Amino acid sequence: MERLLEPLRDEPLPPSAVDIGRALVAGRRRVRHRRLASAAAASCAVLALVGGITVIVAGEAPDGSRPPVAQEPTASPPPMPARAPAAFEPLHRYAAFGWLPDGLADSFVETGTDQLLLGAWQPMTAESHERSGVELRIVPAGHDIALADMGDFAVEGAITEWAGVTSAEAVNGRTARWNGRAPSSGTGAALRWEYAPNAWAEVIVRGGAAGADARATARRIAETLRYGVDEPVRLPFGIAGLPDPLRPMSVLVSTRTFMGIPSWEARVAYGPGERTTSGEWPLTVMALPQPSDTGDGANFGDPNGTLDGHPVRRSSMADGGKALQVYGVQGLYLELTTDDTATTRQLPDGLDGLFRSMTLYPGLQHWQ
Amino acid sequence: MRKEQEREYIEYVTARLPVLRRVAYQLTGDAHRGDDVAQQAITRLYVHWRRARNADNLDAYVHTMLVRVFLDEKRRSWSRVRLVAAVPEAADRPPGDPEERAVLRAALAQVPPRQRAVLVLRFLHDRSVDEVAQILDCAPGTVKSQTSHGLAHLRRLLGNGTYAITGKGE
Repeated sequence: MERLLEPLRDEPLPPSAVDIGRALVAGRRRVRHRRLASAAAASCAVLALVGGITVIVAGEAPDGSRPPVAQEPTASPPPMPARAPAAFEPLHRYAAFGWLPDGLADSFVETGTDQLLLGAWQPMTAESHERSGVELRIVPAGHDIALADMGDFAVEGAITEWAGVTSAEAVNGRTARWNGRAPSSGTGAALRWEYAPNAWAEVIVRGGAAGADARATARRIAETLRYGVDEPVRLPFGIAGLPDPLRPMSVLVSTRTFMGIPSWEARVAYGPGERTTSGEWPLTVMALPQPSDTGDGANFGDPNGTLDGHPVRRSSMADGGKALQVYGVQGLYLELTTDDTATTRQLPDGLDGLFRSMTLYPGLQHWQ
Repeated sequence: MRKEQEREYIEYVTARLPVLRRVAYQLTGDAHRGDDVAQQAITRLYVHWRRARNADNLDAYVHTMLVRVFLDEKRRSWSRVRLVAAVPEAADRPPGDPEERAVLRAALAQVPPRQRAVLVLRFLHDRSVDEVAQILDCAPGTVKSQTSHGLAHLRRLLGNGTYAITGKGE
């Protein structure tokens, strides 16, 4: 019998790019940030909107509507903010694409108080070898964007390591740089610019979406980006029974077509302003369009009970967290999760009660 | 963090970094992305070091962090998943053949993230079912089913029924 994975066991690795010193600096900064965030939690909800700038919403809406696709560059670029907010409001999107290459029908938005990620992608097909698309990474004032192509990209303060960064022509008069470390694989380009004093944005173009000139595509997207968008991120559910001080801290909504089948995912993380000791948000609610009332043998386990006639699976996790999976409710699969005992105790009627306080809007056109 | 605790953290990370990098590389299939995942994980470890250093099984605790960073990244970047139209060929080659490793790595990269994490931890790092369940915060039965699905997925991709996965994981 051959040992299938054995050749990967001791595969030689290239020299390490992991830097313990950088982890120390970032870790200390994050600890300080948490202390500050804790002290200033109440003020986090207040979004300092960019003064005087009203922008037409052009982002990729959850209902699948597309931003206007300009075939030619706009005659005049959108106004650049005089200043950036100190924090983003997770239930709103601060920025939106003004122009995108054709064919990027899948969309993605993930919000947080310290970062906003927007994505637009080509739908996957059986012939797809690599997804191509565009991502916007943007942070509020006082933050920078990590050079690495990674999930938690917001860095408090300014980055100090510049390997792989080269200067670029200004974006609408603002300082700009090419980031050679993103995208981390494949073809593409990443352009970052200081969209407001002490606040940065970065566009990453991946794969074939760039066309022949990835840098030109990235620049055109950057120059047509719209700031100060104040449209709510619409969701397929609302929750009435959320106890203080839990409030939305991060929202993720994606709409996509996979092998010709449209789908979506919506996830909202709630917290008092800081994560739990495990690094997660205290409460997460996720919804997917999935009418099945059983598990799938892989990602979703089978129900082990019922709740108001709906098949559910209840489970306990480390640190006192609880999970409630609800199957086939109005055509949706729901997953409600607390990350620790303290959060579980904050819910007077537990996750069952939280589920009962939810209002669902299963149809994309009804999201609120 | 107190200086003494910070020194403990540095000593621990310095000693375990080669293993963490390897796990991250095997999870991501890409050395640069793997190093980014490892970097995020050790940063998160610093933030939680006071709690982590008192864990019953510190290695398991840190592996949990690493896998969570990886899964978070995968959830966020679901759209970066690659599909191949053609099934990679699994020709007979000597163990350690770079081409064979590339084929295996490409196939492993297409296994869904949680299943991939199970396969990597069980068969490349000899973690038991219970240990993997602890790391992934799920039931042992889930680890077994994810293993089964992951293996089936790999075999479909490699198109060779004679392969077997071996390792010390039960």
